Amino acid sequence: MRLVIASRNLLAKPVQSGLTVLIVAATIAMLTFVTLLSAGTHNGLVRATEPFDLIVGAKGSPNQLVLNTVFLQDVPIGNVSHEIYEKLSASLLVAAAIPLAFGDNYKGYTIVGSGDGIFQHEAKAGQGQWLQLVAGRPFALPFEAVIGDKVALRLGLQLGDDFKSTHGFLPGGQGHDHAYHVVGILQSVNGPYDQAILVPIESIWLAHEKHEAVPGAEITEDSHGEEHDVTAILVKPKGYSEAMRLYQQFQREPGAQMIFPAQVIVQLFAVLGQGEQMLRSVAYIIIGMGLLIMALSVYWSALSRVRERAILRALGASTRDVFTIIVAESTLLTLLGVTVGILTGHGIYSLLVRAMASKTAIVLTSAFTADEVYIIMVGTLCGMLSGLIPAVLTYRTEIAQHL
Amino acid sequence: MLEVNQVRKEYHDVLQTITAVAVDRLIIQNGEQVALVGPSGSGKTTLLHLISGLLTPTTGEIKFDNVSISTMPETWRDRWRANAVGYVFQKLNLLSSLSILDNLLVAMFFAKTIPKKEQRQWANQLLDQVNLSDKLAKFPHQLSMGEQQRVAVVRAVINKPRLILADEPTASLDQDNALLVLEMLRQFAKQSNSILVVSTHDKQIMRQFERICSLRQAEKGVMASATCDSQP
Repeated sequence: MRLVIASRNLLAKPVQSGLTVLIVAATIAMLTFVTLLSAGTHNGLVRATEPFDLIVGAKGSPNQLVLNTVFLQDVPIGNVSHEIYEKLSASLLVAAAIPLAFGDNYKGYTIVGSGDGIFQHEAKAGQGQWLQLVAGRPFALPFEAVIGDKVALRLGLQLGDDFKSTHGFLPGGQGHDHAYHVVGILQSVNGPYDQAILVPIESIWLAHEKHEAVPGAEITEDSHGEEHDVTAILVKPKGYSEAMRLYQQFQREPGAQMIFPAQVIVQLFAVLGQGEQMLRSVAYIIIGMGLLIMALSVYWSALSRVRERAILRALGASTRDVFTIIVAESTLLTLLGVTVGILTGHGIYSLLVRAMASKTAIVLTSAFTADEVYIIMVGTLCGMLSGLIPAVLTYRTEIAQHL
Repeated sequence: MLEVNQVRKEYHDVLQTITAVAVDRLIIQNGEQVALVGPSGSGKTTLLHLISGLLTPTTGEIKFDNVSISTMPETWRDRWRANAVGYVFQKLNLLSSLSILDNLLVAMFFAKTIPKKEQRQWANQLLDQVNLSDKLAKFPHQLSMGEQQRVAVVRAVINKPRLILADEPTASLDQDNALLVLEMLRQFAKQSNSILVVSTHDKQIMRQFERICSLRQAEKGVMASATCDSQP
């Protein structure tokens, strides 16, 4: 009956209850969104680097190497000689070395030249292949192409379709003559490689031999057309100690650098940390204000029902009964607000994830985070405590004056 | 039996002490029906609040069946009020968020004198007696003032209280409805041999009672000090 009274009291004042729920929901939605965005960005970036234990590329900025190789953004630093690739392939410390060549695109989607070993590559040991086909087969001959999930979806490319690539990283560059033939479509990897077009590395070399023979053709700084040169090498070490030894050995290599992409991302986060800390401080202030507004709203809502409580007391309800009813009202309002807030926060975040996925290669992860448990607990507790103040005041109030 | 002995209720202001009501001695036997009369501000409502245990006296003692109400711990007084007192408030005080049936069920829930299984049937039966059985799903604001008054009366008697208090129960009603409501109260009280105390300043209502207790206006220096005289 106490719960019935509490719920009917709330329903009897729909505008007031609705506004309170709205304020609680807005606060919780904001908290949820900030938390999801922070965790999603971090996890999305880290997850994207998972298939890349070690990367070898030309000397230069490690960030640029990661951006180019892992996220398929930015231009390559330069090329690495084929000898380095051969040396790594022959190394006893290396389980697999996969060459990568960039430099062409089709309608803005990066064409990644590689060896067929990329289809056997495991992002994590025992978790199966990183790139799995949902249709068709891996490429076997030059100018065969395996397209990423989003490439197939957005460009409408299907098995058996042909397309011609253009030079550079943006659409509208110098076109290549030889057409690619789609022989496979990748399953989604929830990462940047959903937007990749994988082709045999020889295709890149062949295309550029012809491309560079064209008089007046634009030659970019990457000069990726040099025969047998590669843009980067994805290295799978045999184990952790082998990775460290390999890394140490490679420090003496004059023509290339070896990096741990995950480490680069962590360093990037550390650099961004100060800015993030400032943003976090601002977020805490907003969160604090939100919780205060929420608490005040629940408090006023509970306070405005003083007459109903006086009537209940007059009917013989004990202070304990009334206390239970007030706390039940506040808890119901808060729980409803928290639920709506969590759902709204996830909804807005999902929209952002979709928007980000269509505009950038970074795939934000979307999952229930542990921080949300704290948000639910703190939010509910805050609402309940706000209701406790008027509840405690009922002990001190002389009820007769409200009858 | 209700006993009011040397009871005063005072409120302390910054500058003065205001006596809301002062009653030397008032005894009402079980089954007796009493009209409490007096001008506005004479302390009728305060006295009813004191008798019901909603207020505690500054001095003096109120006893019901030889049990002191004024010195009872608050939780006991709540329980006693739920079980033994039926109160028709001047402003009715029906719970606006609840239906008519729920208003009655709430009163029974706190009293716990009527077995849970019988509560709905009992509420229906009483509403039927006051011709409101078709209104049980309605909310108070959907009823006329006369209908609301009848619901307030039903709520006051639903737990078969031994003490029924009614504060100006006919003030906002026309003559016919006023007499109807009063008759209902008197009938319910008679059936259960309960004490009925009705505050009023309506002479026609007063005439219905064999015993009238009058509260006189305040003395000089105090706002509403008064005494109660029994006139059997």
